[in-house]
Amino acid sequence: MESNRELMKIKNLSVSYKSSNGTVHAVRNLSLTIKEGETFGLVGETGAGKTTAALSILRILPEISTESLAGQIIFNGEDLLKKSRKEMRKIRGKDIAMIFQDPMTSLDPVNTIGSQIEEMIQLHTHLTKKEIRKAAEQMLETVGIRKERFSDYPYQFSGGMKQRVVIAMALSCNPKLIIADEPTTALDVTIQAQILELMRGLKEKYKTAMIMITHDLGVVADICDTVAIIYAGQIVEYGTVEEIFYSHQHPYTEGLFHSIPDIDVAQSKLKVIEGVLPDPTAFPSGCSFHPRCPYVKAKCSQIEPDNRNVGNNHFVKCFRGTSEEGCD
Amino acid sequence: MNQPLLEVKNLKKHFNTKEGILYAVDGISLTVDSGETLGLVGESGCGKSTIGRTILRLNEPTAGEILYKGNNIVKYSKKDMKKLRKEMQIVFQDPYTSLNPRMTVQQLIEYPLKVAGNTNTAERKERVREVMNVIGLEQRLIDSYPHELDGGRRQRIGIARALILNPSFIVMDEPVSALDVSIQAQILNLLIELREKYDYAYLFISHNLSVVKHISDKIAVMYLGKIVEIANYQTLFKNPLHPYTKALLASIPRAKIGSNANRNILMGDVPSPVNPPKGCRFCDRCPSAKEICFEAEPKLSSYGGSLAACHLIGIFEVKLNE
Repeated sequence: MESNRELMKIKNLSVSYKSSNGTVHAVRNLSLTIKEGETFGLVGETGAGKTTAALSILRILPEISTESLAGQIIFNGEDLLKKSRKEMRKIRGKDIAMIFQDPMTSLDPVNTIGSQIEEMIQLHTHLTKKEIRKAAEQMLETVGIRKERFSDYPYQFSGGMKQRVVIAMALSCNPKLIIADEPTTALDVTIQAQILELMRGLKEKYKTAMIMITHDLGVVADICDTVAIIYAGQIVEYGTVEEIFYSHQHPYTEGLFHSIPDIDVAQSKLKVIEGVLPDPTAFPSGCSFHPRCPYVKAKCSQIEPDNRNVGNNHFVKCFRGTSEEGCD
Repeated sequence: MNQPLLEVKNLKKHFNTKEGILYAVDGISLTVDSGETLGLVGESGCGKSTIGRTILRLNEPTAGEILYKGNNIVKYSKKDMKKLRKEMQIVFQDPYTSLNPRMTVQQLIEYPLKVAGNTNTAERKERVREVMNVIGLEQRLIDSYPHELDGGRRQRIGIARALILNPSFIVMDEPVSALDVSIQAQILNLLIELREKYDYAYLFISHNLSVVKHISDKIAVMYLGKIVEIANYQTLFKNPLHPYTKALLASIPRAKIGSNANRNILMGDVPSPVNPPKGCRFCDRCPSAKEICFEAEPKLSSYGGSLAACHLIGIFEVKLNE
């Protein structure tokens, strides 16, 4: 269903925050391409920089603490980082919409859910009041909520239903790209399954491209076409979902897969990634993963590996398996 | 027969709320042998944590018996309970809020010893160092404060606090759900090692079925204040009986491509525990529900090695088969 046309190209995105311990390098030299209709998984652990990358696309980073934002985010042939605030306001919600992690806090508690969807449509279209109401009701039904509930308030809905409302808002202006930041993390498994099913259906119907930010490889297997594994603000591996699942090459990707208890096999000791995420104010020299890497070589602590192409569109930021590495 | 370490009989915990009585735990029975791990799974609000807390009498039970080594501890006085807590400990879910931010690692870990009446400072310090070794916390961190540590290390402190009194039974209330996968795996391995070394019995509460399967001997599945199925961990996954267990297993997103297509997804939301459905609690979401399910409450009955509470097992083909 994905076409080969590029929808968004991020080039060398770097974001840093001010903190009392020094500059936090949240995203470092991140480059990726999202095609039309594609679901792109951005996978990593807490603090890896997933959410920061997403917030930079919409230019909604916390202004006070952002120290620098550099690089290019090309969308529709234009660099979003060069847009004025006014121009960005027209893009947010209309061309690029966002679904936040926690549906309990991302809706306005004192407005009805219907009016929150209407507001979105009203901002970006020239429809009459009646037409807006109709469009909003239709959106509700699309996500599986009866239109009779139009005038209910968020507290009257369960978590899963609230997330449906948030999805309806995101889809209401038929955006080209939706950024979903851990959309099912706050939900119970049976509800998570419902929401993923809904999102998969909508993706087919509307052909909207999506950036799916998640730490859950199960969710990735469920919905993504392309996957980027992000560690310490950098993409360490990038490929199709099949490449990442069946022929991943980066030791961190391998470690992530080993860390999940597999429900289909017998109990055994998990092969873990030793150590913890590095301090984002002072990354290790060379490859950022080298202090935790089971295959580390002398070179890894000195030189940062480049993105190496290991097949079609599959990239790995690691020396392993190359002649450069020396013996292995 | 051997006496189980812990036996819970028909335990109930009801809360009074503005809307009426909330039936958080409504008549559950379970046993845990020494050295055994019982996994307790279910979705948020089903009463898992309430069971854990009530067993330690952090909540007073509304009705039922809690037999620890054969003694009904529901009748224990506060003083007796305080003594008993040396043997029964708990590890909480969120290592960010369950540690006092103004105490150092040393103070946090030795606190249970102080409460238990150990007044020898040097001895306490020695014990803290020992326990830090056991749980893999670097000695240099002994004077650090919780905010200086990451989630995994904080959870290790939570575990150290539970271990320092040499308990035999520990309630693990979602001990890894606040942690990232790589750290989660480290903590799970640690808990398994500790169990092998010291023969602890765990009541392991989690909403994550893969994690529960990984660590448990037996698994109990809860729905809305009731246990709907208890089975050996392998049996439960291979041959789930209750339609809710089947639905729960089908909803887990597997980290395998293609394995999630065409699965049966459970519709609807968990009903309110204030006004639970009459009959079977699961009746209004159950894809196989028959008339009887709306009228009579099913009892836990034995099927092979498993216990399940469903009218339909063996009578009607229960849907949601894979």
